[in-house]
Amino acid sequence: MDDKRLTALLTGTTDLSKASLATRILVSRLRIEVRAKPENLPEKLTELKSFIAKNAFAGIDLANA
Amino acid sequence: MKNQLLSLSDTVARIQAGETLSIAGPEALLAQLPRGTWIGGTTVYALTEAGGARIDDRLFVTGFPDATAATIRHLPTDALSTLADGYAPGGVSLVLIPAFSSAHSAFAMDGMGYPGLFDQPLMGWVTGVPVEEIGTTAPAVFDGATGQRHGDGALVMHLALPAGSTTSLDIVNIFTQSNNPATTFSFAQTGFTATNVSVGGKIVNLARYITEKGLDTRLPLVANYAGALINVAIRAVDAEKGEVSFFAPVVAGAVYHLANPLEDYAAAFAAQIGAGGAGTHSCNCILNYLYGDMAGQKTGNFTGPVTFGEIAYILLNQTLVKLDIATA
Repeated sequence: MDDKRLTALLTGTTDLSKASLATRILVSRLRIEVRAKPENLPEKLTELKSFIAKNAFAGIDLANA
Repeated sequence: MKNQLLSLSDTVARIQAGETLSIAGPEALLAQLPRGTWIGGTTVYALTEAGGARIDDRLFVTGFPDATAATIRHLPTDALSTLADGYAPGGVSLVLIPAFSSAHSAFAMDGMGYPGLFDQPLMGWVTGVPVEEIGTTAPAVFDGATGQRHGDGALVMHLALPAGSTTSLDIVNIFTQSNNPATTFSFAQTGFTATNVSVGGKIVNLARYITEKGLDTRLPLVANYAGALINVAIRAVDAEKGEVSFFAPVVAGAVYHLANPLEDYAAAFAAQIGAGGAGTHSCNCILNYLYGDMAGQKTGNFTGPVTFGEIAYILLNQTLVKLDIATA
């Protein structure tokens, strides 16, 4: 997934009901942190990309979102 | 996984047979168990095949026959952030934390940010005591490998599984958001207590607001975490002091809705969980047990300890947590 799509995911409110619980909670935490401090978006984007790289299920979760 | 409500002697036999076990029950029984590959947590309530029950003379035992290895660690509160360091690749981890301990607070406040926490299923529960002993008896966890009892810290069992195993950790929340602007809350600070809260953009004192509006504090506040409904249960409302306390922290930036009322908790669980659950490791909340008057009532095939907090990666309230493992 490209940065543009992941950024939209973190700054939006897309429902991830079909995703794993791990992905739902992690993305929700990152969204809250981005809303609180928008300047932290690059750092949170990196964290999400690292999570996806480490956990194949997360990539599948978000590709289907 | 195999769930059974067992006598002390039957549990001892299972431990001595070398099984890998997670055990819930009264402290007096847990303290008598021999060393082995098990972790234990205190509670005297369980959802059994016959329905919700006090288990003063028995132990609720879950076996993990598919585990190829088990590593038990006791993590002091200041080491909780290393929890995921022990994850066995492709495995699952179980965690038990005593209620009202410093580890309970720290995990609840900071756990969501621990490195690698979400990299594999982390399932567990907060250990408790008989409700009439809250404040006088301390909840505990037991490390079967060492025989030690701990009143604080997290007891973790990392399980390795055969290659090709699949795992699933999820929650069942019988509550729904009311979506009423008058009961929609946002907090400025994360914490187990709150004074002021934003309701529709207006700042009010939450304790007085709850009291004035006559809101039912048995209902949790429900946040939507990207499709996962996460509850925070209200512990106490002190209108004089102007403070509300919770059983899990409210998170700054999350939007909480008071839950819709429920007529029948057991029926609501049964409707959501269907016929599954027989081989599932699960736990459910003491508040559901008490508020839903679930003693003697069946909630489908999901059996397990009744707890002072449920853990599915993070601390949850008034929620059923379920872990499934399927080997190739």
